[in-house]
Amino acid sequence: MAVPLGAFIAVSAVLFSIGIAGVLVRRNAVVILMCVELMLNAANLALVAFSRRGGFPDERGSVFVVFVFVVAASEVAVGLAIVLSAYRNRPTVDVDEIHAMKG
Amino acid sequence: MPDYNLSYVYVLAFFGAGVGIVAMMMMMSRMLAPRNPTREKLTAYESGEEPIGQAWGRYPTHFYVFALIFVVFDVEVIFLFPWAVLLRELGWRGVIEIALFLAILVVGLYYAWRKRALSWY
Amino acid sequence: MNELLQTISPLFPELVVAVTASAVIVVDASLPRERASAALPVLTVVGLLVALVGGPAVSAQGTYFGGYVRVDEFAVFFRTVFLLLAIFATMVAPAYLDRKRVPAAEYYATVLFSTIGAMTIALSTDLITLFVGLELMTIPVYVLAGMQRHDRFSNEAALKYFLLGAFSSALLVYGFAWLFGLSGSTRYADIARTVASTGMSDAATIVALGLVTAGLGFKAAAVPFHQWTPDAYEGAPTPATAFMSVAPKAAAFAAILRVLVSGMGPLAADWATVFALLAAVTMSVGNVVALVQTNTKRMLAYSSIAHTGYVLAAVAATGAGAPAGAAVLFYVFAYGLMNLGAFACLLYLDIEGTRGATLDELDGFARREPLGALAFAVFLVSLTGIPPTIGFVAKFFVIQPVLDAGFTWLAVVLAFNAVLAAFYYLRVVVHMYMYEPEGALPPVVSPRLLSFSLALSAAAVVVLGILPDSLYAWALAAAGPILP
Repeated sequence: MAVPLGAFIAVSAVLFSIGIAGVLVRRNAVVILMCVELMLNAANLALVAFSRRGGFPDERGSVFVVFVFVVAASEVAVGLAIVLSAYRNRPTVDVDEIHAMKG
Repeated sequence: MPDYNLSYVYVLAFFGAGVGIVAMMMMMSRMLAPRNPTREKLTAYESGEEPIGQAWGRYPTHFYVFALIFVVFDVEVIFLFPWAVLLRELGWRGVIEIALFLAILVVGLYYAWRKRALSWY
Repeated sequence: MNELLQTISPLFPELVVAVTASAVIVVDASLPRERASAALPVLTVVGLLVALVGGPAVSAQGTYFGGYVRVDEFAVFFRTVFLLLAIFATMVAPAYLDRKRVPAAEYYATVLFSTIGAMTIALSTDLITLFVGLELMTIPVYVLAGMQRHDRFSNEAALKYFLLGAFSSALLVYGFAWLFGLSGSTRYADIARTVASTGMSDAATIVALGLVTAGLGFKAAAVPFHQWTPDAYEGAPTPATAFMSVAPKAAAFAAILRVLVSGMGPLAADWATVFALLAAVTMSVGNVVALVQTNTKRMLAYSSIAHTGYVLAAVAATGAGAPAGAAVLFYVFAYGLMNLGAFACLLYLDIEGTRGATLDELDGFARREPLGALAFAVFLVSLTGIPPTIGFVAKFFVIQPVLDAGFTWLAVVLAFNAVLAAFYYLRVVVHMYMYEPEGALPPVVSPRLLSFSLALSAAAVVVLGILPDSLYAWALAAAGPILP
């Protein structure tokens, strides 16, 4: 009862699309960050699926996922710190309200 | 059906039972319980403090720094697992490499400690 | 032990920079503040110089670490560029960091970490190495942008840069996942072999190519992926702006050459036209919007977008072979030198927050700070592309391959843009030299280290503008591994 490659890729494409839609539509910085994480996880799912069930199975896909995990964690740590320090000076996380610079 | 697929059936069964029981209890309470809402009953905390202001109040960011440091170190551990599995094949070179990796993390930890990010006050 | 040294010696420059960054952190955390702030810039520059000088001697060319890393002339060229930029960015900063009470150690350490990431990109032979390098380069730069954390503009710059940077990384990783799925490998060479046989017939190839182009376009600030650039550059602390306007852009072009030219090279005929269009739009939009800016920092931000366009034109011309690659490398080197210098010249004026000087605030600057104004004028003339400066030579080297590749229209757009750009660059020079200083102008500060490093780089801009041959020959050799 092997799940075919197409099913994994379909789920990953849906996840990726939800992520992109979220980044474009949502205005809350933290939610945008969550959507970016969703996109990264879509990529992870595709990588693992390709590395196990793809036309050319290769373990390097799974290795890649480990690095994506770690990078995502550091990104979140830095990103939340930036949101936090912005929030301390001006209590909003709505990116539409953060627009001191223009031109 | 192989064994490992059977274990998914168990999980599914648990999941179904969980959802079913919760749904049944909510339905029963809806049908059987008397409903008589008053103003006090509709407040967020019945016979408690009224919440004032918005949820975006000030809060101590210290917890955040701990959480941040924890997340970073927690995730770095992912590199230790493949190393531990291949410990014998990698030999001393593996040990030295992982020691270098940990040394870099320790530098970060040292900085956080000296900058008082780890103290409560 | 000997064997271990042999294993790690190819990465000598990267390791030295990593050790320096760790040392900066440890020294700052251990010494009292005054002693640390004097020691840190020295430590940073010494570490970078050791990496710069020792690198070619210790790190032999070849493929290492199971094929994930390759030291070739291309990598050596980019290593040199990144190390020089990091040295420059360190030397211009101390006085500003002191004045604004920015934690200096964190500035130096993030610049160093970012430099390691950028060097890793140039060394990569594999999507995994590339991705790790790219993120190691970018994440510290988000921190740099937000380093003045009590300043609202700095916060905003960091937030915008971060959100769009993270988004572009996610696009890129998804593109990489598809490239991996297509070829079953993360090596550029294997990917090139696969796409050579499938061509553009596969929808998956088009998706992967589109995602990778968009992701790298964000990093290089190409139109239409440029919206974050002006805000991020304007709001970031000025030394950080100087660094982030050059190093990440140079690294993005290293990545474009490695992935698109080495990895997707067989499809060059298809993506070259797209890149030519991107180049034309990027340089035109950058220059036109820069024309109407009155804040010099924001103006330089838009001008940096225009320069991305010029380099993209050279990328589009890869059909012309090695000279196109050499043009990219030469332009990246020239751009790094002159653009970092131009932003650093704004450090002479002590203005509140992270704001850059307006044109009116530069009135009579030549009388108030002759050396700084001269250096600024040299950088601006070079950015315009007027001889005898490196900026002129760089544009000259771009035009030839663009014509050879058959993009005559692009060469015309490029020349027209260079004329357009002269208006806003030279307007700054006019304000500095022709106008009298009037009213309350921000005070001038002239730290010796800043003047020294600007004099050095302005001299390099002129000397390399007159004698570009050996640098061009090196760029040509460095383009060899990418575009034989």
